[in-house]
Amino acid sequence: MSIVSIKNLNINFGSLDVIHNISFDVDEGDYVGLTGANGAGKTTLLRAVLGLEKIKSGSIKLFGTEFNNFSNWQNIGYLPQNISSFNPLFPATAGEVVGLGLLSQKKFPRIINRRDHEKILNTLKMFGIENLKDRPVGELSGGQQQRVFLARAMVSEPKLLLLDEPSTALDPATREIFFETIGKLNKAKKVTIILVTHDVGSVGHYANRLLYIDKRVIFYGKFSDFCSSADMSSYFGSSSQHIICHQHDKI
Amino acid sequence: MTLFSFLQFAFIQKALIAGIFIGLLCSVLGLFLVLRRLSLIGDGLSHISFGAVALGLFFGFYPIYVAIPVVILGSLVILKISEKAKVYGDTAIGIVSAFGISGGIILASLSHGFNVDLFSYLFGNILSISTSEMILSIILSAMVILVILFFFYDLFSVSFEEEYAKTTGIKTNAINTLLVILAAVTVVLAIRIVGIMLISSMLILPAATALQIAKSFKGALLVSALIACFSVIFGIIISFLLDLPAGATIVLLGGLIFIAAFAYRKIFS
Repeated sequence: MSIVSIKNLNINFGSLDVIHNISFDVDEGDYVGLTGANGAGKTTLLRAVLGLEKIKSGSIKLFGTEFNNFSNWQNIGYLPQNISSFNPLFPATAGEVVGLGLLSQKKFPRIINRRDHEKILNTLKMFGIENLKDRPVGELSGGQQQRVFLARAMVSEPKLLLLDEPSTALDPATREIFFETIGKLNKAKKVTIILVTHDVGSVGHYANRLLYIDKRVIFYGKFSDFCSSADMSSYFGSSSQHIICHQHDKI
Repeated sequence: MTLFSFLQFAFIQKALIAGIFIGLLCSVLGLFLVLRRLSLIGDGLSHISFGAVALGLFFGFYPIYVAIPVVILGSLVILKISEKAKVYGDTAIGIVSAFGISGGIILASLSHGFNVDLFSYLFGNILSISTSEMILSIILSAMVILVILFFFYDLFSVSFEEEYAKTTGIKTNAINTLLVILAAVTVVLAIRIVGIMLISSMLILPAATALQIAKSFKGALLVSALIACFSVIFGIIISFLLDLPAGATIVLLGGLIFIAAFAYRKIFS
């Protein structure tokens, strides 16, 4: 069963064609690097999977269920692109913010109980930030906030993790730890991952599949196939393709 | 007269009981509104309530009974305008409140008779609250607080980051609708304490003060509630002892506490 199945998806912003007839499937345990140039529609595509964008036509299935009938939100963890978009004066602690990720498991009235607090603490420990539990999230550094928001995405133990440019606020050392953690989740816990990044050269280092889009699907497959593809060579130009793949080899 | 002998007066007891309930309600709901940058909705809804109170007085109905449905309707119109029309929330509030104020002024002008009553609603007087008004305040405040408790984490999540809340299955549109309806009921209830002119400060001041010193969301709720209760209790006592208007005294005390909390944060953080 495909975890995500998208068929003939079209999205417009007014008269602007943002996503054009995109189809692809993501299987259980896949780690997909979703990449493309600025304005290619990466974030829009990811947001469409979450129901945050209005689609013009096409279908989205999550875990085999049509999107309109889908309700198992606890199976999905999401790390938005702009984690700094929250109000920095909001007096929520890191622990309280991570707890919001558990609401997808709850029925009305949603309440965070003692067992949930243990889950929150364990998830904070997983990302090495248990010492930040009672700190206001607005007072944390960008890297610390990123880990708090990743913990929020992971606290419900989702089967699908959607990450939108997660490494932008991280320094190189933290970025390495971050990707190592994500890689472990994918391998050890079989968490399916879709990672949006503009860094096509390094994405193959982490992901086992590459989805390159430019409003439409340009390439979808293994990174090694991308490097040996004659189609990609003619699309990017052989020198650009070589630079991308060489950059990957160096990593 | 001993220091606390004024507590034997029934009108003081009623004022304190109703004031504490409504103060608690304003402080809890106000925190959500302030954090969602919807503080001005209190102002907008109070302007609508001005028109609604005038409407009630014009037709000879008890104004609060007229104000509750009219202000709820106004709050929903504000929400719809900000969603559907290409305007920001503050513009939608401005559009709807203009109807409330202008409608109220025209009705007052047409009636030639109820201007004095209307002024009593503009400035409020909790010390003249009747037993039935006190009971109505307690019941409605308790109901709204219960609704907030039931939807606490939904409101928290939507206030923190609306789009993320949507990805956890929370019906964010329904929660937004609930929030403005609760705000409408709260504003109408607060008319009798501080009057139409000062309602928004009952919503804003305890929450804004709590944000100066609280380090967690639950802490902010607690501090906001304590400050509201303190302002109401001591505002009523001071106004009685010094023969000052109760609503204005409560709000002024709340303003002074905000200044103190702001100074505390600047000095100690």
